[in-house]
Amino acid sequence: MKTERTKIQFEWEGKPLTLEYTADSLRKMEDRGFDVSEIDKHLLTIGETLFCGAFIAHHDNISESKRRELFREISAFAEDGEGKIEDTLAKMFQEAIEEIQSHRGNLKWRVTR
Amino acid sequence: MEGDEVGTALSNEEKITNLGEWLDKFCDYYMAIGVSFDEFWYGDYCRLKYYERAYFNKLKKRDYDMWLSGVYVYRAVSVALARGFGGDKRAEYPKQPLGYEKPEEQMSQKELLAYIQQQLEEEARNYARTHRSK
Repeated sequence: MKTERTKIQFEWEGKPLTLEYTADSLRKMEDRGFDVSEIDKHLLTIGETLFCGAFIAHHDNISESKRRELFREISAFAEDGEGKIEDTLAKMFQEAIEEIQSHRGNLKWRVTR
Repeated sequence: MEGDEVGTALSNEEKITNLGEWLDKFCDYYMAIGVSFDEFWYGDYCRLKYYERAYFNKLKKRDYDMWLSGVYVYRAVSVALARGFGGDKRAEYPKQPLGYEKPEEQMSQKELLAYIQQQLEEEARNYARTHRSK
């Protein structure tokens, strides 16, 4: 059973960076314009959006433009055996949603399309 | 493509349209089962299932304890009836708590259930004796 969330770790300008999602960062992503119901309409930019959102948990002080720059740099070179960075980010996002909702309680959800 | 993968995960029966609202509802749920506010919002979501499992195990244990408490009450009442009304002086309340007949070693769950079953049968015999002697 999974005991720890998936993370992306790398070094940037001599500083270790850890990218991951928390419930709070998912909410902040939405506050900043990310629309989960429109994912399929933004397939070309979703990787970048998820990458920028993964900074919120630990490195929210890094500017949005720097994050985008880093994303372009990383995705240009990322063939590190882990697959494309977009795939890892999608997996991390999906994992966050699944882990949060994988409850067995009696709570019933009504979610609108 | 990566977007498709995420889209698929979210396009099940229950599609999430408002992430904040969705998370708020889960926050309520998890806080009700003992997860702290900070743990939910800032902690590792992979731990949530352990809180949940612990909560349900605790409920199960509480149910068991309540059931066991019922066994003790039943036993006490049976003994009182047997001795008071049935005149059966052999009827007595257990000398030690149920499940502690082997204090030097822990009883397995199977043994404990067998022991409790035996206790209940004894209660039934007490009850039958009480009624026979009336």
